[in-house]
Amino acid sequence: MRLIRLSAIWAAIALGVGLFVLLGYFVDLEFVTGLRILFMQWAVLLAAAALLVGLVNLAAVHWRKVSLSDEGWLYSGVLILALLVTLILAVFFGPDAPISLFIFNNLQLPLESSLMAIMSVTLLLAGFRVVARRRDLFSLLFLLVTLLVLLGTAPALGGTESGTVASLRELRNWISQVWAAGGARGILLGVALGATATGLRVLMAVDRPYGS
Amino acid sequence: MAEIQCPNCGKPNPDTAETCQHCGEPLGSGSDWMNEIQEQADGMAPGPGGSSPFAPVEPSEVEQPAEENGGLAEGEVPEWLQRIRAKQAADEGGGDDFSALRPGFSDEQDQEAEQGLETVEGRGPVGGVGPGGKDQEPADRAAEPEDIRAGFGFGSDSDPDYAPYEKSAEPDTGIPSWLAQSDEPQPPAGAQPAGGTESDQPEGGLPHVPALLGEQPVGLSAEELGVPDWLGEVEQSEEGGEETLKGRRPAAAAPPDLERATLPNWLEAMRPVDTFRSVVQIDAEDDQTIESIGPLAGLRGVLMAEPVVAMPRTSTVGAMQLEVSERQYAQAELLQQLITEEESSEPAAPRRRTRLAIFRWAIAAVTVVAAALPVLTGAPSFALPGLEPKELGALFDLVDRLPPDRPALFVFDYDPGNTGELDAVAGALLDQVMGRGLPVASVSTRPTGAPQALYTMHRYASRHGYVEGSDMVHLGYLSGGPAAVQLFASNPRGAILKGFALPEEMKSAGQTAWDSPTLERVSSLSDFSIVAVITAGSETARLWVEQAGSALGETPLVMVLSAAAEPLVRPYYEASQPQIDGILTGLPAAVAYEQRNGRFGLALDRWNGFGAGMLAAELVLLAGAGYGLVRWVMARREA
Repeated sequence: MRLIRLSAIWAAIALGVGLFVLLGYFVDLEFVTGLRILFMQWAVLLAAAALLVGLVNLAAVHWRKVSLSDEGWLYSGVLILALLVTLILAVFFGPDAPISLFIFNNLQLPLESSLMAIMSVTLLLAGFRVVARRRDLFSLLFLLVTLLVLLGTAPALGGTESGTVASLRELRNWISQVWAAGGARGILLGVALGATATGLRVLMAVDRPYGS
Repeated sequence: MAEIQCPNCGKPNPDTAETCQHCGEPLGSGSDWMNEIQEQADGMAPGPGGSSPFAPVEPSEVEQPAEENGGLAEGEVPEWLQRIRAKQAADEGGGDDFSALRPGFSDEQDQEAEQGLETVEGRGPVGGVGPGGKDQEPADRAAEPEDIRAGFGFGSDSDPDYAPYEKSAEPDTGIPSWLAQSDEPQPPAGAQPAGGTESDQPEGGLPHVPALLGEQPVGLSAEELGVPDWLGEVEQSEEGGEETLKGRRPAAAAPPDLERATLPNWLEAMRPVDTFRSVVQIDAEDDQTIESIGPLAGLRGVLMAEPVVAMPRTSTVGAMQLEVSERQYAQAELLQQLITEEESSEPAAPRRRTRLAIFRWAIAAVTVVAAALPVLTGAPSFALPGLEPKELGALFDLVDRLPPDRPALFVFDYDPGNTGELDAVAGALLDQVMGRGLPVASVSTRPTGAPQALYTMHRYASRHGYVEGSDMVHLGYLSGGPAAVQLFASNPRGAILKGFALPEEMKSAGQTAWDSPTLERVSSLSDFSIVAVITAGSETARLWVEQAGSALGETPLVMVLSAAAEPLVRPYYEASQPQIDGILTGLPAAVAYEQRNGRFGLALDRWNGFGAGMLAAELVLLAGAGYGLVRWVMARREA
């Protein structure tokens, strides 16, 4: 009996907040708009708190790996050390202090850029293996589409924009904007329908992500 | 000088000799082990009768324990033993007539039995296993059953025909008459065989059964023969007493002289111990079947194996089913596995092929060299794009028409990993905006977005003389995801309270980013002149379109994208009612934008490296296709 009451209370709160936020899009009343902004500010605060909780959880997981000397514990130790150093510096000097910006410009930015470069090499190697080892229709199709898109995107050699190069660019645009965009629109339509259905289910208390 | 007769060859030897001079057999009196036993016996206390345990047993001593210890009652003594005792009593009394003790035996049979016994006695010491352990001669053994039969009352010492076998009147056949009579199939009428009464025998009884009882094996004890203890003692005493009466050496240790009627070992092993038939019906020899198979093939009268084999009976297979628990079964399995593993030879570890990641390193080297070569050497050089995307002109005109008194908002929603591409693409647009002198503000929904914006904008700010706080300002990190974007679109000042990297004078004055000249007239998202979202992910682009689109009003929303995000964002731009007012995608479009803008920046700097890298990628893929084709052709040739 008590559980039923609690769940009903939670569902009523979720339904009321959702309706007020949704109503703010359609009704231009100061009370409704003000209440919607208030709810949004609470949501932002909760999201920030959730980010802190996630940060603590991440640190705890890696600390456990270090304490148990699991595989890769050294990397976890480096992560915890970097976290502590950055956190202490940002807390004491501020996130926009020169030392914090130095860490970003000279550590984080090059490292993440290097990871992206490695990923490009890895993708290229994967493509090489696909066309070298698999001899079927799909590998052939992959090879043709990739070459066409690359040739249409890459700068032309020789310093000329001949008719062939123009044709390649048109072919590339046709592949990208017809085939790829058509598939992307289908995906976006599915995502929109799914988001709408999910929102309605939450508003009708069918889905209760806050607990039943 | 006394002589010692050799127990082996029977020839005389001096009493001082320890071994026989003729055959070398150790003489009994001289054996060390015999002397030791004798010394031990001498040292032992005498028995109840005052004699040594190894002293010859007198008949009186044999009977005495039975009588003193209560032994057997008179009524419990078997008949054959009673006859023996009566015979002994008659011997002591000098009487020779045992006919009363042997009903059913004729005088002739008695005489012949006595003759057989005389034969045994007349050849000297009773043979048998001598000190040396040698067997007796076959001729001596032939008389042994008769000796035993005499003990059972078939012969007498007082018979007149008692004589050694060599002196017998029937030496030609070698078989005494009494033995010939004993070989007859039917016993004498009225004769009662020792070992049982007539009623105990089956009809058509076995004629050899009494003989087997009398043929006690040499050296076998009563226990081995299955004879009761009391009977064995009595028999030994009886024999000793009989020999003593005849003035001879006690024959307790003297084995019978006949060869034991033994079965071959293999036949004895096959003999059924517990026969399924209580009474063995032995047919006449002619009626007995001849075994046709097996090791007994050709023999007549053997026990048939077929009834045992073919007789219906309960199968023992499956009758014993072990009740095994799962744990025991698992342990048994484990044990079996261990044994199997021990028995099985461990295969040699395959030799690991030292394989260098040639292709991986080669592709990485090609890519790096291709990207770095134009930067280091300036070659190869690629032509600037002669064609520009169709949306590029619209975007350029849009930016060119922006009101100069309203700030432009740049949203840096990409990770530092995408800096190489998006810095150059965003730089082209940023360069145009700053070139027009529009105030610029930045915000990000990513934690690294604020320093990323500072890093990117600083390059173009220095080019155009922008001052932090007055010409451009950074709002910083907008935490909260979609809700934060919704809140920022509705109430920017409520979503971001302070700002990021503000000048020291503003910090010291306690001012926020909203107090800067750039944003002092901004209270909503529509107060910006343009909102440009720089992102590498379609999700972020969709987030800003959906959450902030309704709050933009007449403010254009522009997307600066990486090439990978273009297909998923372009539908917002190419829709019948576009939700995006401009789109700038990829490095080629950025170079074209810079060309149109007339000022080159990062996009042009990275153009040659980008082109060389793309060309290297194409060549690598073509090389992979060629390598696969060559392998396929070679494989077909080998096949």
